[in-house]
Amino acid sequence: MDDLDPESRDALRRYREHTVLAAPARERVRQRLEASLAAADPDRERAESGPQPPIHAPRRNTLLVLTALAAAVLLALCDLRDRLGGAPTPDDSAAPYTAPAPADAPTRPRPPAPAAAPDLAAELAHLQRARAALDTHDPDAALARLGEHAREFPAGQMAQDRELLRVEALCLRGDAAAARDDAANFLRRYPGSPHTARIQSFCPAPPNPVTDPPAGGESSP
Amino acid sequence: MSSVRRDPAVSGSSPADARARIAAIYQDHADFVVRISRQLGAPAAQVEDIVHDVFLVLHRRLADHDESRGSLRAWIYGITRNVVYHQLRSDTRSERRLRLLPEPPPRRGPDDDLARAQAGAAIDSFLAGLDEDRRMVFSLIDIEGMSAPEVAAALTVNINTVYSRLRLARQQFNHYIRDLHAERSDSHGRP
Repeated sequence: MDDLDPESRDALRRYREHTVLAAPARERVRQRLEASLAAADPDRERAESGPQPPIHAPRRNTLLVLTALAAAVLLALCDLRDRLGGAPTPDDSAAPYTAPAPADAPTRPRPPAPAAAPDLAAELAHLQRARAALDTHDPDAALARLGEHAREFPAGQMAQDRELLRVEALCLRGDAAAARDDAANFLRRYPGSPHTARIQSFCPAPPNPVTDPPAGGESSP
Repeated sequence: MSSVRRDPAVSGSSPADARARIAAIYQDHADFVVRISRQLGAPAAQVEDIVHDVFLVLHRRLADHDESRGSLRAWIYGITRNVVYHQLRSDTRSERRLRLLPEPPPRRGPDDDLARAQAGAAIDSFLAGLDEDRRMVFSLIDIEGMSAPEVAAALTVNINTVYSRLRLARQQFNHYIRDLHAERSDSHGRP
């Protein structure tokens, strides 16, 4: 058996040290994994007790509440900013959802109040099922769950999150063009969204040397 | 890489035990999954997702793992390969082209980091030029420190095949490193 030269061994040792998850990424993936495992394990319990999180699981419960709170705060901020005119709204596409019903239109039932907490829990449950489907590489199931969410909550508080998951699912299914189209629509509809970086990370288009600055953002040498 | 952890009895363990065990395997083997994914062609931007998915699958199949049929790392290798291939199949051709581009070198950093990064880029480039059969034998044995029988089990090939691929890959690698050193000393020697 031919052996490796000392220099070769040394080079492989350096490669091994270099090709690792850096500490922040390692921690990020660990946390994400923990959340996925916590969401995957108690599926049966949750199916029995309905969409509300079970009371006897304090850690999971806390996680759900924190997620819901964070989502509600973020979306309330986005909504407030939009109302104050801070961000342009693509009128054509948003109009069917955002135009207020005339006061004297008795034939149409009023849409539910936008900030009702039970709705948020129900929305979250839909999106968590979609997330779980994505985690098991089942984009079709994820898209079905997202479709349900869209039908039940066309102007839901977690519409941005739904669109984010939809792009991820399309990308996972191999529909890169559709994923990019949806991502582009999302960016037009929600400028300044906190999901901007993440939605662009799915199915990224090849970098354009003219419009994409090099990573790091410093001036070129 | 630490040695293979001894299994506590997996069957009958609670979900909390299974999660704790996955956390321990993650601690010991996350970097192994990172390197294997890269060598199987996963783009750097997708490595975090792949590591996450690999450990999710490991968790789901924990009860199926039978150490008598192969080491823990051989098992992790098999799952990583499946996850990476699944991911790559769902990419379009343009992403595949993108993946072939080398990673940009780091913009600055201490000399040590830079040397490591350069070594990393050089070896990425060498590995990319090897055919996959040879690359995985070389990587699992000479980078990851697995034994030849362990690798034969992981790749489901004959042990003589493992040795023959390893011998050829080592010859190629020794040549590659000698050439690299020769080029560097040439360029340093020039005025």
